[in-house]
Amino acid sequence: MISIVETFSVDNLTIRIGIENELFTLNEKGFIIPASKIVVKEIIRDITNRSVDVDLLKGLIYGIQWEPHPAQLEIVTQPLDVFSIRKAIEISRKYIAQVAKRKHIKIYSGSAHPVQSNPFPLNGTHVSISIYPRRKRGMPRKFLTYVHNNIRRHIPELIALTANSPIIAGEFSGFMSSRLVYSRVLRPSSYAIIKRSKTTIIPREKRALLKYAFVFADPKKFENKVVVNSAGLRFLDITPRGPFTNIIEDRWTSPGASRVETRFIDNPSSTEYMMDIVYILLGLSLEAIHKLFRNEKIAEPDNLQENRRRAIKYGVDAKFISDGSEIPARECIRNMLDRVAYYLDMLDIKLRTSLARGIPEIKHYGLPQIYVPNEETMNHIKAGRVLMKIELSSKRELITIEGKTRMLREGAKVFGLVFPEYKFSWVENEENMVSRFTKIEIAFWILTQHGYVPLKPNDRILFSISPIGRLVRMFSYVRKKL
Amino acid sequence: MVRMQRDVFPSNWMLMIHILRLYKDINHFLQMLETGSIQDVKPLLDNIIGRLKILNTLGGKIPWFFLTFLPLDILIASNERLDDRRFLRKYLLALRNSIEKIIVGRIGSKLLRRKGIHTNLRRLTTIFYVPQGFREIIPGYTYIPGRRPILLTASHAASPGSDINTGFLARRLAIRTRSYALISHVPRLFIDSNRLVGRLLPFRRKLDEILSSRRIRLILDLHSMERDGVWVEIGVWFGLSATKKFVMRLIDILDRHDIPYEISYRFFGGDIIFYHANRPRINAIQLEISNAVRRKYLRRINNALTEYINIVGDIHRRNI
Repeated sequence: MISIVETFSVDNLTIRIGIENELFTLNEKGFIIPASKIVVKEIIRDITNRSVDVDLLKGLIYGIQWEPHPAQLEIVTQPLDVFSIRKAIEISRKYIAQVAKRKHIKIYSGSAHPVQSNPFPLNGTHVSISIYPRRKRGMPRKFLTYVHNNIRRHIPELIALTANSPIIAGEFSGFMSSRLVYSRVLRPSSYAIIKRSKTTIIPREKRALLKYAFVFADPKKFENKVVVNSAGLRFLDITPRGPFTNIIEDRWTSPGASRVETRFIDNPSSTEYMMDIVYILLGLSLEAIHKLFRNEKIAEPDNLQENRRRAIKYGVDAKFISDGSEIPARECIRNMLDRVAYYLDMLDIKLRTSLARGIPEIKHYGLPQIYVPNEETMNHIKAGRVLMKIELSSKRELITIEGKTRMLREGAKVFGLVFPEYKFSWVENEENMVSRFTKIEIAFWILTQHGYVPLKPNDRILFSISPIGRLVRMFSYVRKKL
Repeated sequence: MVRMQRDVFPSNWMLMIHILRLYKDINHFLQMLETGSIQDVKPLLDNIIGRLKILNTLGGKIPWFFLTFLPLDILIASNERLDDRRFLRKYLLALRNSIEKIIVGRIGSKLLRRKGIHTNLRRLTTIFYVPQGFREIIPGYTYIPGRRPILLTASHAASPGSDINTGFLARRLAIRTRSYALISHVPRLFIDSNRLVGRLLPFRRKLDEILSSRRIRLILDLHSMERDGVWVEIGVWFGLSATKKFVMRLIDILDRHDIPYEISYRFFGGDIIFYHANRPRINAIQLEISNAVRRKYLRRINNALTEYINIVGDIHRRNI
């Protein structure tokens, strides 16, 4: 039984939310470019020259940093209350977009680029929630386990609601969230428990090998740790963080850093959607605390991993297994949202987007269109037969590598490597910030030994061959000639 | 149960065995061509053809894998060019070199991943592509013809996001030393000519053309970096893109001119170095010059590189 506060009331709780939002830098044609360094340099210049309200930013944002991929930027907010967090995200995104605009760079807020994510690079939004009694300095262990376990048991519903990366490498990947399939840092977490463990022996996983480290400086022999991964990994889809966990990086942090970090959310396209997702997570966290006050157990759900997989694949159209039968994901989501609404009402928060009706962003706006004028050419490329002999349906310009042009007559035959030229259409909900791609148009070119020829849909493919097939022909020719 | 299927490159050793045997056969064929004993060549060619056919059956990811490593020249050239024994030899050497890179690439796949080449996850639709507006960027380079067998490249010379001084340095060195130079006008923020995707660009095609039509011995790919203390970082793909004597001579000259340098593990080489190097015939070195180097210090680098080019570019000099 909780002795700190007797009754559940949000007034007795401190709520802190932090968001890490990863973004891409794009050129004006919508292609990923390694320009995060340029944007960050510009921000540093602004701060040094005081041409931006540094105090305002400092109060809201912990930092803006580049990620390992040179086209990725990350906004990290301070831990803030429920209302300031919206302001922090709005201001920081707007500021980054403005800075990028000065350098003719665009910012893309999606999780995967429709063509250049192959499957990497991938972006995500990490939401950290910390709820603790007003008199405490941080989230106690019990709070951590309850919040973790309650959000975790809703992972399938949350993924179904937020899966937002169905297209990678120019085609539908077959998964509503390609990011969750391919990402190497989103392993499924397990049920959180409080475990009495030795402080001097620290499990450490490095390059998939579990080893142990020893720390002799610690005066205590045993400590109660919140454990969701026996190796103390933090790269999980959801994980408790802070000094009360067995995560090695958090070992010497202060109790104020205790939080539950949710990492499985695909990037929402706009601040509105992002905030709604954050509020749903907050509602689930409050529900967890309420359960704790009622001394109610949060059980490990059956079929969690199978439902998670279904949500990743089918999104909101998935069917979840529950008590041996299949239930539509939409029903589970509505159920979750009804319960969450009760807690959000306490904070006077209303969901503003289609998520309130259980409609994910991707369903609300629809999937991007992929327009290929010549499916046959695309199929040959996908099958690896990129070298083609083509009969031109009309007279055409051949452009040499020096930029000179030469006319090819109708019916001329050209042989070479066929490659696509991509054209994107997109929507910008916020200025200079690409929210989502709406259309991908693909045209084709052929690179011959004499230069480049643009292809048209009516051109006839005489034959196509793979690179190895080309070598076979080459050696067969040599054999014949020798 | 929902299966989380991913496209995985076949990691079996059969692939590697066939590639190694193919390498052996091509080497054998080259030897036969050089010694002029081509009477028994037909069974050998049958072997090569058979082996290639087997490789083609090893999985859907094989075509892109070969496309990543094989020179585009070979793939798009007409068969008639092979009638010329000189061309045939040149192509075989290039092919042998590509297979060497495949072997190293399979072993050092992590190295490739650092360069954005994920050996198990690429798709052909996105290996080679161009952004909308490709027509407008042709040709997108300046070519300075030369006399010495040295080619200077400045693939990131165009703003925005340019490597400062590289275009200027390439032009100046080319004029001073009568080397060839190729300076890109396409900004890396539009499409990066020093990446896999850049191989399609006229800049890279021209580079290939110069390499095949001139007796280029060394490519010096000029870039710039943000670093104080070290003025020049030398990238040689962990020794795979240039022979020791070319690197040692460069180090020796940099030492004499009192220029702080390092053999780089960070900037070990971009796609130009990886793709066009064909050791020992074509050596390629990437030079990252610090942005902090200005005026007289830049002149000092210029002088050192001039001396280096004069030595290694002397076709009458046997020992560089």
